[in-house]
Amino acid sequence: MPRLVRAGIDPERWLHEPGLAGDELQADALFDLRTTGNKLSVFELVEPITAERITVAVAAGKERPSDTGYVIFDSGELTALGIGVESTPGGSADTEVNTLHRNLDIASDTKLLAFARNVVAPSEKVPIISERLAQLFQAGLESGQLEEGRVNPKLVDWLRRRKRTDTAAH
Amino acid sequence: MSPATATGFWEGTETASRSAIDTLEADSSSTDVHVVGPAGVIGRVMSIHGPMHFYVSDRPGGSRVLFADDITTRLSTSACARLLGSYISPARRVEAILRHMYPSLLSHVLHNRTELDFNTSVQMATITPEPPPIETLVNTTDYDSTERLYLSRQMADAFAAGALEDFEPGMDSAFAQRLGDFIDAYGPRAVRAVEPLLVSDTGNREVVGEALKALGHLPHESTRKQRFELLQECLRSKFPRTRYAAALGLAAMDDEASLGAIAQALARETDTTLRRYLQRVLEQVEETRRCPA
Repeated sequence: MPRLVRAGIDPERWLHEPGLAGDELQADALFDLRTTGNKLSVFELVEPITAERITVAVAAGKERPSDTGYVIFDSGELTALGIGVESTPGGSADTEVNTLHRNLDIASDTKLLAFARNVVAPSEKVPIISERLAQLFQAGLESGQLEEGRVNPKLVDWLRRRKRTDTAAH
Repeated sequence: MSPATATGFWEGTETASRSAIDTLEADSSSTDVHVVGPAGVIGRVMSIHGPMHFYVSDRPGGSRVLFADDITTRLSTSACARLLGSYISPARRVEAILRHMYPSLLSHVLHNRTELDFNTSVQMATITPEPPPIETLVNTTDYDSTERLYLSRQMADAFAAGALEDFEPGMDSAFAQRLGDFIDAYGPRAVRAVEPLLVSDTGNREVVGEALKALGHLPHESTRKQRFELLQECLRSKFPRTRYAAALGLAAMDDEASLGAIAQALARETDTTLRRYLQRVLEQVEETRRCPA
């Protein structure tokens, strides 16, 4: 079964905090699964494109590099929950990544919670620190993986300022 | 009535109305008097334990005392300092002036329940008279105590406002901006004021996490050691997400000491998920340090 990636999550929201029962999640975790039109945006993981590259593509729509993360899960687990998967073009700054975009038809709060508890919670969340993300942005722009015109202009400015600062420092 | 006089950088004279001052006395927690210089409002005088913000209005020339509904634009402390740079620069000077002005002027307002009168001839540092404390509103006139109360209140306000925000990776939060401005303006004293909120068991974990990450990213050298120690302390929080956020804050500080602190936290971490996170964070810090952009 294909594996899917939800990028741009905040791993700290998925930690098990004191006071929660064994299988309970922090309520904040659901913030990482915000739906639009009751659909959740994910990407299929197909080599050679990595989950990290997908996360960079998604984060390129933000204003600056920051601590973020992603989670990888098996699409087979969605069938049991009645969650459909549909292919739709992605809108990130990475055209190759965009071909891997999928929408999960979450539809209801019941399915969302079941998805959070049964699929996302047990799957491994991987953090990416802001400094690493900044380097990946820079590399993505230099290699052409990220189309500069589709990257958030504030982020492009941020990266330029940083490059100037680093150059001056050296 | 002998007026409080102030200034150096204010011009002209205008007065506050008696009714407003009555209100100030009646409701010390919410009523304020805004003090305006030629370039706009530069201070807000409140009850001795209330917050003080800086404002700038687009009113041309002439000093005056304004009240809340006259304010047109609200800016952060540092932004205000930049805007008023030709008058009072840098931010620390704004702070120094208002530190002096605040207790004296406020006490005067409260004590005399009457008009404020500013003129250009007297230095702020010589504001007179210094009236006795008004015991019904404040229990001290000691500046350090007053400032501690003020800073604590400011930070508590910021954290309360932060709880209303949606923090999203990659997007600037107003909370982090406010925290940064505050530390920029007050330095180590502001970090001391934020500490109880970070180590409290009852704080909003999301806001605490945002604060810890922001503390790590601040380019503020004079508080670096203090922020490092605070982040290190939070690595021992009973809340895993606070420990994680503290590690991210340390990762952002990007030095050998931070790496060491994260490594130590990893060694003692018992939460298996958090152990994996910390391991990843540590690897990435080492990697980015090996291969700088």
